[in-house]
Amino acid sequence: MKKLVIILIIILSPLFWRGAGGEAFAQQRSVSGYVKDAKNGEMLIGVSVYEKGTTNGVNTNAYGFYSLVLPAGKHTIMVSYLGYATQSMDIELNDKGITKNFELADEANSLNEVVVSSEREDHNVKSVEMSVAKLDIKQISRIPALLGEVDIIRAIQLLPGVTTMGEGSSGVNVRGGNIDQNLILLDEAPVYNASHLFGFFSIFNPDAVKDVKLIKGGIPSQYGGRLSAILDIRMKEGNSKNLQITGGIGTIFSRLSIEGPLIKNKMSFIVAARRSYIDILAKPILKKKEPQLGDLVFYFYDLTAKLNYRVNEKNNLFLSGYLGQDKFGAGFSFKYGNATTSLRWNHLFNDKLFLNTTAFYSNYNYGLGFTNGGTNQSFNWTSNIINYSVKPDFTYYLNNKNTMHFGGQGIMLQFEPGQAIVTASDGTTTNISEANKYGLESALYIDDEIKINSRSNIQFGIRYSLFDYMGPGNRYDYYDTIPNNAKRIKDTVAFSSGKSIAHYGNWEPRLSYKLDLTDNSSFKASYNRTAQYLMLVSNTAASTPLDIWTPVTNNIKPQIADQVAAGYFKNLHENMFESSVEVYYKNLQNQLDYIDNANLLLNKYYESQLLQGKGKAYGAEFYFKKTKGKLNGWVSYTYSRTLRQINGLSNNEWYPSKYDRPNNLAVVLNYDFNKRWNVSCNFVYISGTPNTFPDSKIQIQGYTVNYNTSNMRNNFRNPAYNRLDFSATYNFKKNDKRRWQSSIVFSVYNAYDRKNAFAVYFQAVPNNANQTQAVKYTVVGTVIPAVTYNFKF
Amino acid sequence: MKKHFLFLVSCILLLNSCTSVIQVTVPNGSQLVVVDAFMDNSPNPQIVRLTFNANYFSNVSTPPVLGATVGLTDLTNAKTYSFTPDGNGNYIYTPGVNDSMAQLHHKYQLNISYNGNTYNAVSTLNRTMAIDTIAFEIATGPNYNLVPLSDTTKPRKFYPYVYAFDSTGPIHDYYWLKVFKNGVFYNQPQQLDIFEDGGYGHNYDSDSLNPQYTFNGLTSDDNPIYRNDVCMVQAYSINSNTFDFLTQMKSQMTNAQNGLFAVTPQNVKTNIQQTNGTLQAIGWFNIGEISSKSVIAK
Repeated sequence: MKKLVIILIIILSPLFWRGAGGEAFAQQRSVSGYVKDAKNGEMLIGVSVYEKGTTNGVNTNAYGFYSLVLPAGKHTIMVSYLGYATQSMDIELNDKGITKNFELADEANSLNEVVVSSEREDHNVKSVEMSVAKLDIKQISRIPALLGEVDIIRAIQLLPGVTTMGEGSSGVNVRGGNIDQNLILLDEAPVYNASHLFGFFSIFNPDAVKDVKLIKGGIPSQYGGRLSAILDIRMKEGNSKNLQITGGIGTIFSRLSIEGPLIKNKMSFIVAARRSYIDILAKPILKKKEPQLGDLVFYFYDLTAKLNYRVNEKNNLFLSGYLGQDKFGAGFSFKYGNATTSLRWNHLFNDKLFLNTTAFYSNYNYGLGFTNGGTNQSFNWTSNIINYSVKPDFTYYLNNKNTMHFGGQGIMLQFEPGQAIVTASDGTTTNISEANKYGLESALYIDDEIKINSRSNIQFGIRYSLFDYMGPGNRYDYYDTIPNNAKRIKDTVAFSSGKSIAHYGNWEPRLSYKLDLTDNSSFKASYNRTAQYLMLVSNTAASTPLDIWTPVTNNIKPQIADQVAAGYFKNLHENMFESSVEVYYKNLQNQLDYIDNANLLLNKYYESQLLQGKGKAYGAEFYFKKTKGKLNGWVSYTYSRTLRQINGLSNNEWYPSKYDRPNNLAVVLNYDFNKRWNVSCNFVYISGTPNTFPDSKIQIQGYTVNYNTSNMRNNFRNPAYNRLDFSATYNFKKNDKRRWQSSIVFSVYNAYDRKNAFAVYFQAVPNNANQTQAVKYTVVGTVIPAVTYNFKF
Repeated sequence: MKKHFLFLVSCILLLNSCTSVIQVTVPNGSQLVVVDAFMDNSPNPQIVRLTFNANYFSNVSTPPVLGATVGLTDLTNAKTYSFTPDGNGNYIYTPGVNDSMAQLHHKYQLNISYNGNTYNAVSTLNRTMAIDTIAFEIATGPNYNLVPLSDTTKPRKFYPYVYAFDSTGPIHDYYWLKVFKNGVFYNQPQQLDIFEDGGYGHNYDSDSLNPQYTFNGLTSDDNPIYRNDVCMVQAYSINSNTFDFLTQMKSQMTNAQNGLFAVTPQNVKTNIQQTNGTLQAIGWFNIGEISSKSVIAK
């Protein structure tokens, strides 16, 4: 408690710093307000609002709010955003701050037309932010997609520093981090599994998404709880001007969303839904080919909804929700899904102090079951992670050289690792459920962004995070053993409700620095420490939705990462080309791995199967992007390594982690022929995933078993992954009298029919124990053409 | 049953998931002695097989270890038994009908010496369970659609169901159930079936009784049981760590069928301790009680 008080003091003290970093003019006033899209009233995120001819400027925050502090007098304010026409406005500040809201118009029909360059499209160079990738939904929708479905997570995989384990694995690996080391936020509520159908698609409905931001380094202090990256996804508020319906009919699923005003300019909503129907189409074919799949259940759906209410100039309310479920079965059943609700309240204390308070609920559930046809035998297992959280976040615009963020977060976590019932053939049931686990994760943070001079900015902050693993629950104590053997249980101590079983706290300093080298180039550097208190326990080759989340316990220590990164950013030809080179190095503590032949599923002593040790990751990322013109797109290349050293594994030497993929190349090209037709293609090459290959075989009881005498983990690599995709979009002629707009997208995925290895296994040839073979398993084993029809009115 | 999710998903998405045999080059492994010692209380010859490991893609059976000395000590009554080499890597002791080598609840130590290297391993002889009944489900065709008995045009395949009763109580029992057709063991990796009490895993806390056992190995339809074939089922008792070892062995051997749920390849554990020398030994020793029942498929 004492610690908390000290932190509160530290956090609140900047409120009294007032003058920090700037000329403490008594007459400093602010112009503040919101920037919206003129067409649909959506708040715009990251718009540059600045004083013409100076470096005085700010960006709109995630809610479209800005506050620009300037001396009293006359000023010309510029408002600029990529893809929108720049606006300017003359204002006069006297003894009071003023409110100015802007509505930016789309650079309509910009195809084939020369884009007027606006000065502030150089955000990538000028901002102190580094290791950040932003994709707007227009850009994402141009990328050729699997089965023609626009997908955010699949688009992110084409950015530097991001890889996956391949088709059919959930999640992405960012800068050598495991998939559980990314914090995925949907309107500020965490999503534990962002995949549909084992990662073939993500749960984010592109028609309801406004903004996607991936932070790989220089992570600001308001974010925490995961080591590697933040994926911040913001949903649309819904068209506040007109009722609009958007939809698409695809091969796998269809989409429909409705948005519009409820009270004009005050209240708007969006509801977006998707449902797959391939099971209905595939059922007759499957029934013939695989009759035992007759009782097939196979679908997913998701529903995204948001309501926002502009109470008055000072208060806004947003209520967003997501509900999605995947369900498969044929004799067995398998399901998983997320539900999130977040309520956010924006409050302006005055024109300089902005507060967003988010309260959210998030529930991730997964389960497995089977029944033995004709008998009573069955097995049913369900598991949940439930979060409740409150998160106040203040932004304080002190003056034009100093912006401050501070706030805190508390998350109540409830793990229900396994409600499992076994029914025997005689009808008797056995409950093999595991007890729930409880945790409280809390944090306080502050950071300050200061313009040191016209060329350099610094952002520094600190976060203090705390985790309490709480009762009711048991603390398991284990005997020490030779590493890589299961630990034997020594003692079980029961804790009552609310009692702390294990407690951890970490200071997490964050620092980012930018120096302009020339008008269009800059150097940036950052350091951040992050701590993580929840982890995914999985020893399968690729992660599955069935993997178990665990909090830190008395036996599992929090993971900690220290990352330093530096980068050079340069734009060419009046921002037509963006380029960057970034290097990073990460030192990782308490990384999780497993003893050989670990037994993790439904094992209450799973901690005895875990090992923790050191990790390091480093890499260089090269990014070159052409943002405008008929031909646009990007090339991204990353060289990176991610290694582990864990006592008991791999002779205690460093070994590659299972997602260590040194070479990663992605090329994305779009070409606009005319207003009707445009084509895109992308090519991906990634080094194969590491694998442990046996060097010999042994024979026991007539069975042939693989054996790796070197004992080194991940001593080989599966064949490299590469793939080429194409797509062509035809935009139907707009009818001036009606609002109907539509387009048709033709796509080809895996164009040259590459049979990429998901995994390589070793086994004896069936019926010949003396002959052994390596078997490659391919998930997408064919060229996949698809057609999608999209409409909007 | 969970195995084929990804295949199924891929199949339904018409992505055409597939497997193919590929050529990979791996270096030769270093030499190990492999101990294969599964003994029982029957009067049949008890064999300890000693081999070396072989290079992974060598396409030969593993070479025998010759010139070793193998003995067994009953630690409970201090009797010793020595095994005779057959010149082919097998070291044999034949107890005969009246011999009392294998005694229930006795603890045994296996002693091996080879070229100045010495190894030992211990195992306790646990109780097994009696096989009560073997019943058959009669079926035909690849999709096990039942056909009426009156239809004599198709050869009938007999799928065995085994009923055996595990003892309840606080002691956990572990079994390896082996199925034979006309004396030939069903030896495919997926046919290796082991049990803890009535269930398949360690995580059943109670002694829930799940007496009916369906032999899964035959659903692949190779080598089915037909009318008049002799079906024998053996229940062989194993130690708890042998249960783990066989679980690991099966999981490594059948990993390719686990698709999405496949684990990274890992070495199986061993209970062979090295007491002298530098040549490493791996493998397993278990001594158990055996019970069996034979039925002619009618």
